Amino acid sequence: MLQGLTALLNPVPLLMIFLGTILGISIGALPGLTATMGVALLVPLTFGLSPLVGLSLLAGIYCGAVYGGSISAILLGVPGTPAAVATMLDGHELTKQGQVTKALGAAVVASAIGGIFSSMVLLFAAPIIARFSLKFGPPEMFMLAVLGLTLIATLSGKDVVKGLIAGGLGLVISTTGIDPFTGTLRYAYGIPALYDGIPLTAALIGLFCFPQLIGIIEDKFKQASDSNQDIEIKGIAILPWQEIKRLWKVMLRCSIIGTIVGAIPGAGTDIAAFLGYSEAKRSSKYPEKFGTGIVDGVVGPETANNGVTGGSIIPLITLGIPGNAVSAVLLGGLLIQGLIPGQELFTKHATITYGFMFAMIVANICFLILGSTLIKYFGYVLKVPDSIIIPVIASLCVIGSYSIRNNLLDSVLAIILGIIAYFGKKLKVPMAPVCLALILGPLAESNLGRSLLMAQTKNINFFVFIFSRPIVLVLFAMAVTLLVTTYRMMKKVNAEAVSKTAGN
Amino acid sequence: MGEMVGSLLVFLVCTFYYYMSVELPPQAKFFPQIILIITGVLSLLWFADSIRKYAKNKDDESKKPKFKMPPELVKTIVAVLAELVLYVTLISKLGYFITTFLFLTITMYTLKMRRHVVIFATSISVIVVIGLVFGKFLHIQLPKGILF
Repeated sequence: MLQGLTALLNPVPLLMIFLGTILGISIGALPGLTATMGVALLVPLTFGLSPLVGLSLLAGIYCGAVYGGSISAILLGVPGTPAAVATMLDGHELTKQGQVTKALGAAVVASAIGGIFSSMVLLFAAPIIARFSLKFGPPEMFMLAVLGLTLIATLSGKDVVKGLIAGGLGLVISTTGIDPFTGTLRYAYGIPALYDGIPLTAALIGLFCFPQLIGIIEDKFKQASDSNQDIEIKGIAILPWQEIKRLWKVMLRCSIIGTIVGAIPGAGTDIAAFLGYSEAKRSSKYPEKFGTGIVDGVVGPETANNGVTGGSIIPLITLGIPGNAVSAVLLGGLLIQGLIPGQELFTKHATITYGFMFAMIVANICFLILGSTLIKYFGYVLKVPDSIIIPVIASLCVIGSYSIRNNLLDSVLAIILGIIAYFGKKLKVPMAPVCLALILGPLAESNLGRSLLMAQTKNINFFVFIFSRPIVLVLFAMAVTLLVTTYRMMKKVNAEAVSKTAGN
Repeated sequence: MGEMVGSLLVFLVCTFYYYMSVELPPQAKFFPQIILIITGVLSLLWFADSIRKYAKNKDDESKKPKFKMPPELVKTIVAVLAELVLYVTLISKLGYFITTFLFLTITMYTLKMRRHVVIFATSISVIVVIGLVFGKFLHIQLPKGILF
């Protein structure tokens, strides 16, 4: 382990982590570009580098990109990555209230804490977690998706019916394309681009970016000014010590959630971020303030989504099973260096493996320093006149949604969804449940199908089959607890609203 | 009123999607049909709730939801959306560089930016930066047209 650390503490690997982190933050902050794309594009470049130097570069990009998504979400209300949607809910509200430094500081500190925690777990407990994550079969994955879908209630705000409708529509949209079991085309209307379904990133750009841009035009008319020049940004963005002390329990819980979700094959940063947001809200003393601009709402999802980074590497290096899309690409990075996952990584190639794990920790420290000191430059975005920001972001959204499959139809889809989402927003229909349903729909459907098939082949009743598995029971209990807590919380909020009205 | 129209539209969408799924094999339609039935029922609940709200607030002007926007704002939003649609339509014919330049300059002008040097300089630098990042660094082939 120490040899790994010594090998890493050389100028070249450290410089690579630094460069990778800067690249990663930029990729994450741009709508449409994700950590997976960043790592995938850089993997071929690492072929010519020594293993540790190449992997350090990839570690920097991975950690930086997962954090970077929060910057555009907080500053502009335009999430750079699907995971940043949860951060945007409170982060952008804080920006609107002029508390940019607070929001960005909370995001960078929480991200670094989540990332460092999961990298430490990776360093010390990788084999144990890997064995646990392998116990997740289709029934467990289905129940994980159900647990995720119960978050719709948490994300719906005061109007649960509208939230559920939004979630339902998201689930229906997610069934577009080829059915995973029968190979039948559903809702494709003969358009080849829809055979593979509606790409998540294009849908996300449509649902969140375009309505936000129209919203900026409306605000511009109301304010009759062309920029937010009254917002002053100076110094460094860091979460104050008192806030860290107040939120350490939330951060710890969300880090654990992120690490576990990361280690489960098939789950990723987006699910972790929503679970983190829900956990922060559930355990809060003032859940009714979530969505109105509260630091806790930034800390929860950011700690959890960066917690995924280390977690997703655990099954990758121990068992060769990637935890999510980025680690699948990282597997390619390991293989081209001749590093085959398994026991050999901890014996023959221990220096490189432990060096890579330390590189993950250093990458988190690196973006903590960069993110908190460069806030002034991030903040310049807010000083740019809206008449420039709107066309530039719109153009980025069009190119971003096009770039996923090199298909302009994805940009058209994004615009159509954007117009629908704009009217939905006017009717106070929340959009976060649509995003959650788009992420979880395919996961729920395919694993439900597989579980049904498993129960059928074993000739057991489906419910008896899934509820005889301990992890399913734990996840089900968590889902029920979440629903009950949300119901109680809403009852309390409604009662307070009624008493306030009576008081007036 | 908007809520009533919205809820009915959701119900119609659910009905249409349900109708489209009728001829699918049982395994393929099982999941979407369950979701569509639940969402359809919820949209009717929303419709009932919106009627109740409408009847309650009918006489109270202050409680009526206000969707009225100044005509100039509506014009601007429609113009920007039209420019966006034209941008996506023309990009495959004129190519990324020309279309993006036209989109950026015209939209900035629509949004009342009148400093021509700023419009020109911003458009050129954005095109170059996006072109370099996507085209050269990320190796994503940007839409090509008649010239580039």
